[in-house]
Amino acid sequence: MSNERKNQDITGWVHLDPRSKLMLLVLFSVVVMIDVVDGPAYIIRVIMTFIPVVLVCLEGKIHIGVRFTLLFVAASWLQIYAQKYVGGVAGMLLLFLCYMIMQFAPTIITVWYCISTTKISEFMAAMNRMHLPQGIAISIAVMMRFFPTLGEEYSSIRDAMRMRGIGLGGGKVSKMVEYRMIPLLFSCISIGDELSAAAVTRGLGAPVVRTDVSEIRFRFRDYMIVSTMLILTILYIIFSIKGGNVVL
Amino acid sequence: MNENKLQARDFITIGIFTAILWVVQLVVMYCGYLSPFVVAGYAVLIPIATAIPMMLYYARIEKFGMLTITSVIVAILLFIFGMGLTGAPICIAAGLFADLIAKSGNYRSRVKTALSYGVFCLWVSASYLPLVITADSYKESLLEGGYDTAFTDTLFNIVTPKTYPVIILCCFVSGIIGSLIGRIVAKKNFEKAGIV
Repeated sequence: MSNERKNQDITGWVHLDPRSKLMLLVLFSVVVMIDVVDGPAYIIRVIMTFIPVVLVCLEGKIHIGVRFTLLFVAASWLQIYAQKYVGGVAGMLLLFLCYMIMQFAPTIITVWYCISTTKISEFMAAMNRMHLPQGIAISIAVMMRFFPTLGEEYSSIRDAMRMRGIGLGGGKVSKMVEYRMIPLLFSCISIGDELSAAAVTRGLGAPVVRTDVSEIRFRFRDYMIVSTMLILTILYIIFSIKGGNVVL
Repeated sequence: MNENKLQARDFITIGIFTAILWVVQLVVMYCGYLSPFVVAGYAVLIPIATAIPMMLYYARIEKFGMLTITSVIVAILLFIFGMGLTGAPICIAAGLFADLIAKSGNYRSRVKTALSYGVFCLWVSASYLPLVITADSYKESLLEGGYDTAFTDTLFNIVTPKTYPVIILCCFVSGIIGSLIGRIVAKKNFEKAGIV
């Protein structure tokens, strides 16, 4: 990879090491395991939720930060609104949706942050450094890369369906599932074949020790952010124990 | 190179099918917010819904280890999505046994594949574990989050430590049924196209 390309890869102002991102992900999965809806622990939860938002903006993906903030504000507002004014089935549905978003907000933004700002080469380098078996590393890398692809393929399938005037598949659940899943699987399989051909051409899976294109190392900011989050997580756990929420 | 060792191609297949498996199960999960019966019905719905991609996956498996790695990744994903680590051993064990069963049928035997998929589906029961172990605090947090009392009552009447073995059985049986459905669909659509 030429130098020019390398510079293009890093667009943001603050670029974290992929290993610190993984650490954040682990911390956040601890946070979403414990449900808290009020008190000091909730405040810490909100603060923690917005740290990745700031980070994603600092990496130059401001639109993601804005979209998430809008989603978060809308969900929290709707939750309060629905609890008070909307009754019946519609209210319940709305409430569930908001509860879901609020409960998983930290994970949503962290996963979004990790996937949108980590280059696959960086990820592989991090996995190499952590001495994870290469097989698992490749599988996870492909999977991470594949979630957005699945979304794209799905929207093209929907477009194709709309073009032929097939809306909901005649209202039958089995047809609805079939019309979407079968084409999706077809395209996934062909993408997979192309991907493996490309990977093998580039020497993936060759019985040698691989070197990494991306240079990764912990910088001062990595230590700072990870330690801040660690302290916040510990505080969160302490406060939620005090608040009566049992920890797993 | 050793023929029985997993190669880059296999790892890519693992990544792709695990992604599909996870997305399909997430879609089913989101439907669970409609009714507590759907949450309790995960044990039936998820194995059947994921059967179609999984049967296609089984058709591409030739070596030992692919299912095990899939289950390891699913365990990691369950952890990231806040289900905790309590279910991880079950999840990985299910994957390992499923792999062993499928291997004994040389990854071609129909009966063994159905059995193996049934065992693999036990990972779904792993995602119920936090619900069963921490039933009280979980219920409280759901109520605080604005869930209806009727919803939680129904849910925790269905999913209790007593019914847990039934849930496990449900996962297994619907896994086997799902594998039959998956096979029919695969026959209808994929064999014609020459993919399987």
